[in-house]
Amino acid sequence: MLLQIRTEISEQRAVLFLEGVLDISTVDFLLTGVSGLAGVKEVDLDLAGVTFIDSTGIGGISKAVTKLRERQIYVKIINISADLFEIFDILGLPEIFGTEMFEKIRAGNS
Amino acid sequence: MVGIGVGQQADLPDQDGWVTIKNGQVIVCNPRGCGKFPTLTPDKNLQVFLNGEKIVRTAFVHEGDSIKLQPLNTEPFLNLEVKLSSDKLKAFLQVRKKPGKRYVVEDIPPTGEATVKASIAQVIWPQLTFEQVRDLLHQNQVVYGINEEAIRQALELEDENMSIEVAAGQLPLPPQDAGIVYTFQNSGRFQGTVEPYGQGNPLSVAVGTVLAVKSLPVDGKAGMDVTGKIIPPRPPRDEPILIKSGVSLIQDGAVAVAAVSGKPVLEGSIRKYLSVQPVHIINGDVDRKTGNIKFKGNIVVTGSVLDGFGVEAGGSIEVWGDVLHASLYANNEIIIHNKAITARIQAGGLSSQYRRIYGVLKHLADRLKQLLSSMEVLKRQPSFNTADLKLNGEGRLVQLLMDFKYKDVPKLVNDFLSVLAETENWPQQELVELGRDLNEKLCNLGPLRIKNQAELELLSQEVQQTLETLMWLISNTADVQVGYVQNSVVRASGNIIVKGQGSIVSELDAAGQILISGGKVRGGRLTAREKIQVQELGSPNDAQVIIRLLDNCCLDANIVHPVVIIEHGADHLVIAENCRRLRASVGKDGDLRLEREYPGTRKEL
Repeated sequence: MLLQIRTEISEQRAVLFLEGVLDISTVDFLLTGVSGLAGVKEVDLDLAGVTFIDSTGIGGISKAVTKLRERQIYVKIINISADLFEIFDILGLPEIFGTEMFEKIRAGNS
Repeated sequence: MVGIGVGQQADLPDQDGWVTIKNGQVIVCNPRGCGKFPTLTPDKNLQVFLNGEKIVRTAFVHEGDSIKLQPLNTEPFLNLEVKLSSDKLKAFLQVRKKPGKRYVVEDIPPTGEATVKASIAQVIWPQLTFEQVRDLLHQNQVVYGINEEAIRQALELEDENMSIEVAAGQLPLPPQDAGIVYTFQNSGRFQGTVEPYGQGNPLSVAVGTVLAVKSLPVDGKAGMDVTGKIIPPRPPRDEPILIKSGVSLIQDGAVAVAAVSGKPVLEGSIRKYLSVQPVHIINGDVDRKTGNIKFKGNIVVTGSVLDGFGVEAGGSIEVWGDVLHASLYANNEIIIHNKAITARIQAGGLSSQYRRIYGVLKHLADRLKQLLSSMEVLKRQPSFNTADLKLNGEGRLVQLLMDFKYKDVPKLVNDFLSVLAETENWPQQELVELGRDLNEKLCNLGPLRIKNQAELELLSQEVQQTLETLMWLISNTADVQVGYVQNSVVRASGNIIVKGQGSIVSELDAAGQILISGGKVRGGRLTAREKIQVQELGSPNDAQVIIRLLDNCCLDANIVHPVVIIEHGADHLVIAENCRRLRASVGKDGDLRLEREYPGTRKEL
């Protein structure tokens, strides 16, 4: 299953709805989607539809967050499943990016 | 049995009936007039049937009743079992038996109320024969070590329940393990005039001296269990004589002899290695005639080490005279029988570097373990796809972990490499190799070259093994013993012992203790990890002394003059008054604690 990204923008706030597998074959979609955002001050990455992730996918998320922050854009990761958050937690992402970046963690499998 | 009637006549005066039992026969006589009918009550060991029905309580009877008395005879009971111990070295015969019993009905004279009883007439014990027991043992595969005498004794016993050991196997005879006797220990044989280095030399051997003898391992003897199965003895443990330089093994490794003349040394805590460290004797002073002395083994200077010269030993150094404006460096202990003035003395070689490396590698080992554990947990996550790891190697995951949670790992490796770079020729080549491996795999893009987790596990094991070696190297402490120290720097991986007048304006640094029990410390700095003991500390003429307590070190000083500064970590206390019996220690909370006495009082700060 490929990754689909739907973007909704309203009043300088963009929400990227990710659905599918975020891995070595799809991570570029995310990076392209993020770099294409213009005129926004806030971006939410909605990971509710992400079923699987691999090491490249995690690296992609990290790169996307870093690039957005470099552009002074406030980033949040929302609707992440508990399983996925555990993966991020083991890797120490909340320690690096701040726990406040993660919102609405969903219980159960994604 | 049938009740035999005697008759009842209504016109006769009232008379109670009666019943009697004789030879098992019941005879009943009905009452006369309004007399009472006789009764029968069954008691133990028999049953009473009245007109075909069993009675369990008192019943009246009359002539013509069918009365049957049936004694409750029992048959003998026997149960035999053979039980084996868990190691099958013993077999037990468990016997449960109960005798059978034959009863007869007791006679009862004529009475109105008869309680019928039966008493034992015969006790019959069950028959148990030797053959029965033997067959049972064979059925249970017990064929070895059968004790026929015990069985016969068991047959004679009338106990109802018993357990008797009827067969015993044979334990294997244990082997004799190899043992090593180090002949130079516990003996004055190698001291004094017997050996070539003569007076005062503590321990030395000549070429060809037997240093160790091994008693060869002897095999044990097989045993047998009661089922006839052979029990082999454990193999004997062989303990080879481990040797390093200066020692040769002969007679298939059973005897170790000195290949060079020198000092026999047995080192190592678990695995003991025997070596002979050559001794270089300088007869007289180390001066411009001899030049600087550098020797891989031990050095003995029978004179003094004079101005500007240095002595460096791979083993120990012993100076019978003084060390004056000179330097001594030894991997093992240093003994100066007289004084050291303006000298630099270091015993224990690279010990301080080993300690620093140990600290870094310990931290690194813990972090690698955690990293490996994180990898395991991640790979088990159902939402985590590992297909790319299989394709490109698990190094990507290692890199990812080190990018985020384990950022400190490359820094720890660099710290290790920095300490390594401080010394050119490490005696432990494995340290250098470990540094290279860690640098290749954990620094820069190294993690990406890791193919699988096993590679990292191997690296982690390598670090762990190096820690064990370092532990041993650190525990191999070296002391400095000196008569008197002045304007000198003395460092020891073990203890510093000043036996004479004391230490004047000197810097003493010991990983163990500093003991100046009978002397004075005037000026300078003393640092130790375990204990500092001084008779007199400080000077009436204001020569400041700094005492640094590391870890849980404590200071004991009998007489203290100001000014003495005591430091522990960032904590420090200043003793600005004369006092006695000063004790400085580190409390549980890590704070410095002082106890001291002023004349006539005792005060604790």
